[in-house]
Amino acid sequence: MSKKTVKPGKDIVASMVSELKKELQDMIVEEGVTELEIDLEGVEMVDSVGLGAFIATHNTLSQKNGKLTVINASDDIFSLFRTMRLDQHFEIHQG
Amino acid sequence: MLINLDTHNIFVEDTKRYLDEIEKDLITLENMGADIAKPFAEKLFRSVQVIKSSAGLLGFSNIKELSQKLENVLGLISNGELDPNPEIVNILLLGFDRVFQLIENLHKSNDMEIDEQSVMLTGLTSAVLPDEKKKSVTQIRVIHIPSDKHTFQISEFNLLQVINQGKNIYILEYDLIHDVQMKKITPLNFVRFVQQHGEMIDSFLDIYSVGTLEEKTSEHKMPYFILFASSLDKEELSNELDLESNKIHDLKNELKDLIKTQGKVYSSNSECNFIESNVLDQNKKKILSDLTNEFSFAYDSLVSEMLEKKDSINSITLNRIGMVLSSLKKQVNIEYSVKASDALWKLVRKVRDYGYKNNIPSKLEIESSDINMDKRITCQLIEPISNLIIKMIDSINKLQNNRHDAKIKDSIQIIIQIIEEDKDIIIKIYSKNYSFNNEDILLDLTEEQKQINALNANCSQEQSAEKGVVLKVKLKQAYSILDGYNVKIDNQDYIFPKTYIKEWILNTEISDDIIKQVDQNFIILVQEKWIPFIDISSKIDIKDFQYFLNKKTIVICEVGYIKFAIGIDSSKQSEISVVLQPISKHLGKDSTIIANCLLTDGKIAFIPDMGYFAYQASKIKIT
Repeated sequence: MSKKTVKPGKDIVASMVSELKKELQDMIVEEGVTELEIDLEGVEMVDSVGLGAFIATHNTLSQKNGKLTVINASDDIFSLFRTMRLDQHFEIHQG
Repeated sequence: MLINLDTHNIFVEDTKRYLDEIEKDLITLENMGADIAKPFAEKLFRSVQVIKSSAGLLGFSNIKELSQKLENVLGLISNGELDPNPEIVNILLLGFDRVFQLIENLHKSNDMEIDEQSVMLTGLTSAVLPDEKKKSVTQIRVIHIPSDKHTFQISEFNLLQVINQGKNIYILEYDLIHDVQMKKITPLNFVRFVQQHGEMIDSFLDIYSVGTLEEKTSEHKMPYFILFASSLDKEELSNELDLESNKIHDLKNELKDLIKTQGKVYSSNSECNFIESNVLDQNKKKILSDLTNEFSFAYDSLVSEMLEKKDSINSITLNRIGMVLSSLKKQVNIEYSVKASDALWKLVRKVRDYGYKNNIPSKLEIESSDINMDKRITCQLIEPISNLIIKMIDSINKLQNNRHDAKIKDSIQIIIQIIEEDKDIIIKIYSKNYSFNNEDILLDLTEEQKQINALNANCSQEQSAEKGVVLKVKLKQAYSILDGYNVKIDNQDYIFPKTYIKEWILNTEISDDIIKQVDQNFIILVQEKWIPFIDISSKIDIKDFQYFLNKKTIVICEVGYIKFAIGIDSSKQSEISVVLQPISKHLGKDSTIIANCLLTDGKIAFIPDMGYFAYQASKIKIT
């Protein structure tokens, strides 16, 4: 079981999601990461496609008995994840 | 609604105002009893609804959840199903106290515990309901979403509360890709937009439709279902939310067993109150901004007239400055001016809680006409005055016990009478039902007197044949505003008036080495209760300089030809505006503290009078 942290450092929106998803997929599928932490420091906005990336990552990790944790979420992003009940699927911590 | 940085501050201010009102109304409710409780309970109900809706809108889930539980209990009181006795009011007050704490720590509120209050409120709700309704609190209703992939599971009691408010319950069916992303809306703004039109009771994001990182699907979908309560009908909702009608599922049939003709419909637009107050606040800011601009313009005109060396300065310019200053002062006063009876209402709660805790039934009544006070002053008065009243209650209780008076079991009634006398406000405190006699002793007011004196007020007591012991607090009504720097000297806040500061030096800890480098022509004046300073326009003895060791900064002040230095503990100067109150009067002829003031956070600071400093310094004879 290996653990890794990813820090996108910029808004998670449609224009960058393909690249991010590729990076996450490589980590999980090729490197065998099962405990993935996404550090949202510096991330101010997540659009719907970005939300999809979090969910797809969670779904992928779940299939492999892994775990996704989101850290340093801004107040707004934390509130959004809670409202959409995503905190029931993976851990989310405020910055 | 645009959520910006000010929105949270406005929410905090508005909610605090609501909570103040709620606290007052709860105590009134308790005193009134069940007969006339209904209108008060309905008012409380609506206030807590506004707090809940605003908290939901801004994503503060704990505030929303606790408000919901408080609303449930208030709903029962307004329906006449629950008697607002002291025990129930106490639980409500504790619940609202917790909401206040959540508001005070807004950004941590979602992580704070609310279990204790939630359990008490839920217990209260279920315990007092008749058996046929009792099960609704724990009874969970399962509502299937249209695709049948998930179910919402909600307490029937919560659904009933929403139905009782005259709201309709729907499931809204969205796709976050097509209905949100494609319309270039962020999910956060989307959620806030939806919440402006009703209450999101629960929601479900279908994460299984999204797939995994490995799946390459050509068509992305993110179905999102919202269990939604709104006073709007289906068609209105479809228009307002720009959502096709077939994606709005009315649950009227599914919940028909819960929907009864209640005959009670609350104002459907409680969510709007918060937004209205936002607009009001912005209007106030605009007025202040306009006045400031006008003042700046008038000042520029005055300066240019002076530069042109006109023989007489245009009286229109001066008039304009006068008018703007007067309007600005009025605006500031409006902000801080509050009815004395409203500002001191917290005392009623304090007396109530003390009596409740110590089993001494006590009531406090406030009698005042339309007297206004500065709320920064009154908030400082609450603690000493409530201590005075508690001492009075204890004293009466003790006397009654000693005398074995039959009236001992009656509630102790304390009256606070607020009157105006010249430019002073007099607060009289006495007991309504109990007269003291010669064997009564006066109360020890030493500690409270100190606190009250610091507010430029004084406190005394007298015995009257009619009213027994009467406590009197006397304070000034008028204040002026002063700009200055806030500094800390020996753990005491001081304000240095802006205009007298010559320079700030040695922005670091002052050591022996530094002192030796300084010109030795100094003299030091140390008074026990006053700020030590040195007259740097005269010669001084270096050994007297020891006081300045370990001070972080020395402030050089200049008044006329006198220059002097003051050592202070803080390395930063913070610029502030303060309310200035002269206090020389009660300090006596030889007093050295010239003035005090209240900072905007309500703390007391002292203002050294630089003219006085200069005068004292000039009297020092150099040896």
